[in-house]
Amino acid sequence: MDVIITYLPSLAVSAANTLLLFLACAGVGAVLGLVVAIMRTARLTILREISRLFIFVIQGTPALLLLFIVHYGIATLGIRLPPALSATVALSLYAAGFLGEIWRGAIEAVPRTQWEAARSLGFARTQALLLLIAPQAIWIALPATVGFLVSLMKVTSLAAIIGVVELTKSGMVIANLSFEPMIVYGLIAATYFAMCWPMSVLSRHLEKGQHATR
Amino acid sequence: MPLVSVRHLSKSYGSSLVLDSLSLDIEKSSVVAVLGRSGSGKSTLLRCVGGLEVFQSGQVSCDTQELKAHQAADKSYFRNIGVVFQHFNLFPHLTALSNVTIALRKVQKLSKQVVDERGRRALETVGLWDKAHAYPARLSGGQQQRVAIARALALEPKILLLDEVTSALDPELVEEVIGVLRSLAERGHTMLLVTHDIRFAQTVADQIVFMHQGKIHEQGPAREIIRQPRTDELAQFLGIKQN
Repeated sequence: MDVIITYLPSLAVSAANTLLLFLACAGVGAVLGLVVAIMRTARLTILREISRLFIFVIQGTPALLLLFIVHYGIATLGIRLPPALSATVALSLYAAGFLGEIWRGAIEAVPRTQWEAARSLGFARTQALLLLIAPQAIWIALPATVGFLVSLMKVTSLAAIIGVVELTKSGMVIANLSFEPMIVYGLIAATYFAMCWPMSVLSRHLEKGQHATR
Repeated sequence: MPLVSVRHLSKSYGSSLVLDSLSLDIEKSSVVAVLGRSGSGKSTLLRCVGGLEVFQSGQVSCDTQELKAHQAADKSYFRNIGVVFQHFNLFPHLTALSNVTIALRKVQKLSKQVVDERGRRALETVGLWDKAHAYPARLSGGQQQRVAIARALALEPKILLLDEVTSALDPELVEEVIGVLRSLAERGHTMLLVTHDIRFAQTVADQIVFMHQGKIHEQGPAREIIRQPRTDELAQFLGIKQN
């Protein structure tokens, strides 16, 4: 127990770092992912193909390798990013690839007849997407989006390997100092769980709320 | 000058010709019902007039707007037209009133006062003002279809296009929709409706067009044409044995 008490302040700081890293990647990834999803459903073939290729590459690459490419690969070009920035860039791209594909699926799951109704009312395509299709697609996408975000939270632990001092990295340090890997890693795992669980609960809650209005 | 004029309209899907150089005029304040078996091209005709399909040759004009072959309809074309679909196609995340007013607000960008007034009037016309704040899923099929009619009416279109609007409804709900359409006809709304329900066509329309194999096979005043079909195909469709 002494271990926990001694190192609790530094664990708290690193938990906050993990949360920040997650929020940054989820935020930037969501914006990029939205662009990817819109391009993926656009009328212009070139836009569809670019975003398809992006999704294909990101989904086919281990997140760890994306981290290495951004952090070590780009360094050879003379651009040395701080580890936290490299991690944010790499994992935001990673998130964009997955969220873009989830949201494309959700947009396409809204019946074609809804687009047609919008069109007959005079709506332009983008306006119909934002005002009429997206609000329906959000509910379709919700479970898969939350599922991905929960996994993204855990994927941020990879940033430890390029030296970002987040939860896993400080766990490694403390476990080495204290010779109590079981307790320390157990506590770290419980902290990840505590950060992921509310997302799942919120998602279930929102889904139930939605069903009540249907 | 007819309000809607279809000239030598041809449309095919791949190698199958669905509309074969079809011409049709619709006068202002008339109600035209298009009858025909499935595959006769009647729904495609309505969708071409509604600007929802691109066609290969001919032209369609509605009031001052014109659609040519290979041309996609734009916002100004849809301005004249209200479409009601078989499966209502209401927006499930919006209340009945929002469904009716969203295009007025976001496309036509009318003032709040005009939007409120038109939304209310449209829902009152179909007898659903008391359901203004209900979501589509809480309404019966007949009520949903009436909201869809109100949504089209609120645009104040020159013509209402009704595509099999009673076919997805339970039999006991068809009557309320027919009632609404009949009152619209009495108020002088121009309508083009596609159906395979003869009784529906007969109660609402004053002109009937019978389509067969992508062409107009027979047309005339509703009463005459149903009582005395001139062609075997229409007689068969009506279920009349000819001797």
